[in-house]
Amino acid sequence: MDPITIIIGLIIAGILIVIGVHLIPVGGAPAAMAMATGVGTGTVQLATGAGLTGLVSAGYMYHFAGVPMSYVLLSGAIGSMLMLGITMLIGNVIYILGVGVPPVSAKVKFDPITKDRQDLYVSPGTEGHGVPTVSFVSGIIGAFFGGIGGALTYVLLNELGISPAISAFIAIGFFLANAVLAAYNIAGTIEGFHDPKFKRLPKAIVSSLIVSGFIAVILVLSSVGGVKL
Amino acid sequence: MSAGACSAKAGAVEEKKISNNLIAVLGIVGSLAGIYVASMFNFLAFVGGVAIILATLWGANGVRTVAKYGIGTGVPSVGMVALGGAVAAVFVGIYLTTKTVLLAPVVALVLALLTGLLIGISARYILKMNIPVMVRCMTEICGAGALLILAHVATITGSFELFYLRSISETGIIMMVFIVGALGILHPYNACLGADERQGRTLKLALATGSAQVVLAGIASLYFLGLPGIITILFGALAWFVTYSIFVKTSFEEGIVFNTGLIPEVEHK
Repeated sequence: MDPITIIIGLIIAGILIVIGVHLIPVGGAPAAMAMATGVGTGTVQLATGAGLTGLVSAGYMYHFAGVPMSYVLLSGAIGSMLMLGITMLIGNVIYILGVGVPPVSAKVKFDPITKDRQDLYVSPGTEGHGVPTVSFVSGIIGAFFGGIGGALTYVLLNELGISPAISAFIAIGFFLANAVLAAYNIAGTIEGFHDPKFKRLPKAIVSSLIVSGFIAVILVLSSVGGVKL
Repeated sequence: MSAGACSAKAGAVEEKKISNNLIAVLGIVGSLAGIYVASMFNFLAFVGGVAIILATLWGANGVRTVAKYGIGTGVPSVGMVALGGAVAAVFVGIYLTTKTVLLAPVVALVLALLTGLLIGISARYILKMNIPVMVRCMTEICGAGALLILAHVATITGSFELFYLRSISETGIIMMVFIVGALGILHPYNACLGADERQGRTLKLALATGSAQVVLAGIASLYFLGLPGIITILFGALAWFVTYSIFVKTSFEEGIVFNTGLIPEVEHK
């Protein structure tokens, strides 16, 4: 594969990761106390958990299954979606049966998907709790983008001629750098695509463009550019 | 021990602050020296442990400076970016310098600093995070992450050449380096944060988390180097014991005892 395609591919992968992270319902510390909507952990932890599962499934397909590249990317996406889906489901089981709160969003009056009334069920003093349907769907879509982004990074690094183990390691670093940029843009909690914070996405895309572009250029220069010191 | 006396003591130790520049110089020069010495002779591999400890110290100080502003995403995300941003730089640094191997740590450090600078500038001016130290700290944290990975590689394999980097990746030990390194950098501030957080105490914990990493690097190095790995383990264990006891002692000294509302035992007498 020619170097320019790989650089553009890596930048697209970075942007997909950033979009994915913005769609995942992250509640942070408030959600851990059932005081905000989303899963009760940080953006980076959730995104990394989902992204790395995608990387593992994509890596298996790439090396052992002998299928076209689109299948590899899709399998990465499905790995991520499964991981995040299970996380959100188990999170909901704990919120509903353990804490005893209904999954509800505080950012919208009616759930955009089920049309269920939301504001009546928000406990006073909190910003929603659990993972309501709209956030769950948004999270699954986010994991789809994040998984494709992670898998694309891994595949492109392999195409550069970097060994599989090192590719996986660089892909993890690349994923984390982009996930952290998205996390800084979100600054705390986000419920999904219906959250007003989702409108900040373009800024994160620009910053991801810069950082992913730099990492992609130095990677390509060192492996296929023939630059040696 | 009364609450008043303790807070007075905590107030008294507040003034002493180690300058960030001093720690940065110590982190860069000390770690690079440690990495070079460790790669000279196998039996000196344990000196790489000093590099691990100093790089952790530098990174933890950077995390402390930036996370004090309340980023809103949690301290772990700041620590993970250290290693995440540095990984590509380390590999590129070593790939680029196959002709002059000795340049590898310096090139890797420079590339990691550049990656960190870009992350910092993006966060400060594009994402509009209102944190003045963002650019400097992201640069420092990524640099520390690169030195930390290189120090681990040098301690575990006794070299930082491409061949050893490949073998450390293919055995999967690099994943241990990644997670343990990130935790070592993010844990000190994450554990100490709060209203009475003090630089001295946080950095003492950073020394302890650095030393704990040396023990793990020593165990991994048994596979690559054999006997010199045992020296690394002993060195790390000793350093961990000393630094961690100092940290626990400081924590007890600066802790504040609050009466719980139960009648104090003194009044029974």
